[in-house]
Amino acid sequence: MLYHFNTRSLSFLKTPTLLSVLENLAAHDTARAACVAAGVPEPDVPLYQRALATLASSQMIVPVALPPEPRRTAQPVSPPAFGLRAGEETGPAGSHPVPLTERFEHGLNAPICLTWELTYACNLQCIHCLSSSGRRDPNELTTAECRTVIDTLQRMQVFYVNIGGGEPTVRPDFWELLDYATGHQVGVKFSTNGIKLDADAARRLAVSDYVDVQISLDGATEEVNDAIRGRGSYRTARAAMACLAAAGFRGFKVSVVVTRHNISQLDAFKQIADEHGAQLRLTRLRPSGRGADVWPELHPTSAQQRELYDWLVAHAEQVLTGDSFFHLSPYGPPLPGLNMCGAGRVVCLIDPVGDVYACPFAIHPDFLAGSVRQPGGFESVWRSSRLFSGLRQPQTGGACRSCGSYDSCRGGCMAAKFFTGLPLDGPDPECVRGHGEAALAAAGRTGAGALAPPRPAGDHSHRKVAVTIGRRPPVRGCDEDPLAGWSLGSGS
Amino acid sequence: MPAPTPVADPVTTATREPEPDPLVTDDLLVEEISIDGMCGVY
Repeated sequence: MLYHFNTRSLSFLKTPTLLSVLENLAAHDTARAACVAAGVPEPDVPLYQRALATLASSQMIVPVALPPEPRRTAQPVSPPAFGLRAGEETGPAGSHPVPLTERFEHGLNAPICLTWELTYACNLQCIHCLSSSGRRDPNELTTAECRTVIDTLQRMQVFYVNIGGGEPTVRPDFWELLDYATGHQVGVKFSTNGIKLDADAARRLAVSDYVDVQISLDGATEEVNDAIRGRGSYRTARAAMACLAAAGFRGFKVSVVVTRHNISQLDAFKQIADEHGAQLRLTRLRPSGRGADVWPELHPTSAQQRELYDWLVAHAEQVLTGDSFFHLSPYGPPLPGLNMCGAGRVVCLIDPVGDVYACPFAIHPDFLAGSVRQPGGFESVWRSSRLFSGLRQPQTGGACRSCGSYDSCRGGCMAAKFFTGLPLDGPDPECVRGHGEAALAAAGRTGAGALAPPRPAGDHSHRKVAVTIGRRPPVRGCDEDPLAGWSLGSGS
Repeated sequence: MPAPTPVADPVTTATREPEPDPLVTDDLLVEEISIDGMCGVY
């Protein structure tokens, strides 16, 4: 498989011979000569010619004579901006390779990418935080342990990590880890509220290869955003965007969690992104972390879901979605992306203390696969955990199997079902056919006296410390300051 | 009048190529898809 960091295109080479051709390209004057050197029979050369044309059109291969392009343009950088992973089996010898999505459903020997929450520390207290972040966990991975994880990801040929938190940039070793990852062939895409993203940081990022930045913004106006993310967060995010734009960082992401209150602002969000030379990225609200408490009031209504789908279809080539809206696909043509749940199959989560979960929205003991601190580290967890083995088994589809839309939505989001108290083999709570609402009612999860759904594990929210006159209750430093114990410089 | 009996074109028959490798009978040797994080983490 090949992954292009800038275009986010993943290419699956269906025969090892094509990989040999690619490896031979640089040493030969023509593609035909490379084919011959790789042992391609003459009658098959046209097939390989077509394959190479496809790879060229997606910028996976580029002419060696091209001069290096400046960063942050639509052109590839030199060396070509793709990662290459060899060794994924293409199927039994002599058989037809199975389609890519089917391969993904059965899991890969390494994740395509994974989410890595570096810290639970955060200066904000967003009401929908998927990891209930706020206070730093004193047991979080050390710098040395993080470097070991990165070494493992490099060895496993993981293409990139989505770094988040918490607010990852408040870790004093954030920039060191960023450089260590990209220096070890692991690309980084990190999410930030912008608190540490000043002009110096923006200039540094603008010249970094294999680093992408997502600025979180949940309202196109200060009023809507700050109601979700807290007072002052809108101005902080906009200031960070301005710094990135001024530094010439083209194509950074403006990351929006779609809610009932901002869905009318989609055009305004896009305008903000366009004005900064950025790209809009919309993602789905999940009932995870603190989001479990606000999901009933914040998730889009049925009418808004239809509105969102139509908007996404109309802007398919201009807007990213985190591949998170596949539950909307039964409305019509499928949205771009895989349209499947990759939890434990091609993605997973490493949390700040090194625990490995099936997905970033499923922080609960039921989805805990192991720890990077256990013998064998992350590689052992990914390849040997019983949880992940189970997720890679053929799915029955359960109650959804008889639905005519199952092939397009695949039953929706595992985490959304779990944290609303629905069975994992049933419909998504936001099923566009209405089966989710019916399932919630049937499971007693709605109305007066509703059964409580499973609670997310681990609450790292800032505590409200009670103060009594004359006697102050004992507190730990991290109860009042998420960054307690750190001496933060101004170097970021 | 009897229907004409099909006769193999001697040139075509002589130059018919061997059956291709099953691995390369697909229309495309490359499958491409856009990947955007798979979950939309925020």
